[in-house]
Amino acid sequence: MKESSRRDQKKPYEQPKVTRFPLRPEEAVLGFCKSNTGSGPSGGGCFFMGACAAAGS
Amino acid sequence: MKRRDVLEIAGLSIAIDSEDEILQCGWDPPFARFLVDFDDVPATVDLQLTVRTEESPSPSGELIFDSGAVWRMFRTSNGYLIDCRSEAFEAPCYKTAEFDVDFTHGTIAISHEVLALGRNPLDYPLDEVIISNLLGRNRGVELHSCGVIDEKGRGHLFVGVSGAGKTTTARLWEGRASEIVSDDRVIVREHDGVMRMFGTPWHGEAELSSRTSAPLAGVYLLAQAGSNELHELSSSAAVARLLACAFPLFYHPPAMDFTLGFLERLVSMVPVRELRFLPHPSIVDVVLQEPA
Repeated sequence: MKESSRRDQKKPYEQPKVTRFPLRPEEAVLGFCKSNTGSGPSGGGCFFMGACAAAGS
Repeated sequence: MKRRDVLEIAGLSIAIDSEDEILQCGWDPPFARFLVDFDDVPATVDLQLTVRTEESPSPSGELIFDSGAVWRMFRTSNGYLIDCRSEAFEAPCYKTAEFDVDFTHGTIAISHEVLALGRNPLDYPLDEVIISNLLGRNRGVELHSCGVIDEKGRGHLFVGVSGAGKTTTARLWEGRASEIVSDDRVIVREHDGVMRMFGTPWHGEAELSSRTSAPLAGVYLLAQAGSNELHELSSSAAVARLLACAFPLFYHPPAMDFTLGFLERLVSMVPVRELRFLPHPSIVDVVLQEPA
């Protein structure tokens, strides 16, 4: 293949882009709890009083 | 050994042996659904836990992760140590759990003060930290999501952080779904070349949880809007947004590699799109009209 035609097939240069996506760290690291009923992160009998970084569901 | 309970969550079996008769596993109903009947206990389990009623030892080893709130992880000479903390107790650490490097064996030390509250030894956050560590070792991914199985047996996963509309979605599907496997936490694993979603004991405000699983037909990133619309995403954007709703092991590079690769594979195998939606039953039809 000729150099010129190879050059023609090249994709046009696109400048790299940085896209930011929101992350909720307290949720991603299981660092929250929420007083509710049932089990799990919304679990009943929450005894983390005062230690909750944030509510989550 | 005085007592043995075996939990199975997303096909992962966890045996919990206790050596102290005082220990009463106070399994809440959502957890009790994941207890395995004695006759169905597998010959080998993924994680063997022993529970001891004793004051938690002071954490030792190298601190490798601090959640900033209710738990921390240390690297020890034998593996890992997790300490659970609460200002509700006099001792700074009310429960510790030690694990071997592969997370196949562990020991939980829990104080009598906590047991007196009638809680089970795996209470949050330890339960989900353990599952995250099992999944991150080449098994799958847990997503902050609501999982719905339609009447045709197809699994639809609605993903989003707190407040995105997972519980609202679950309620909109009530009466239209075959089953809702959780309104807050769903696990995705690949089995025989198929991505499947699995219910978990961890639920949201609708308190929906089930042990059922289904093949995934579609993944929808929730975005509340003024009208219903499916919005295509680039693969990289889909992976990034799924990662923001996962619980990856930030402190364990091989698991981060696996999680990113798994999400990339998920995006290549199952349509992952943004679902802009009105909190109205019409959104159910938008999803059901998608080709199988």
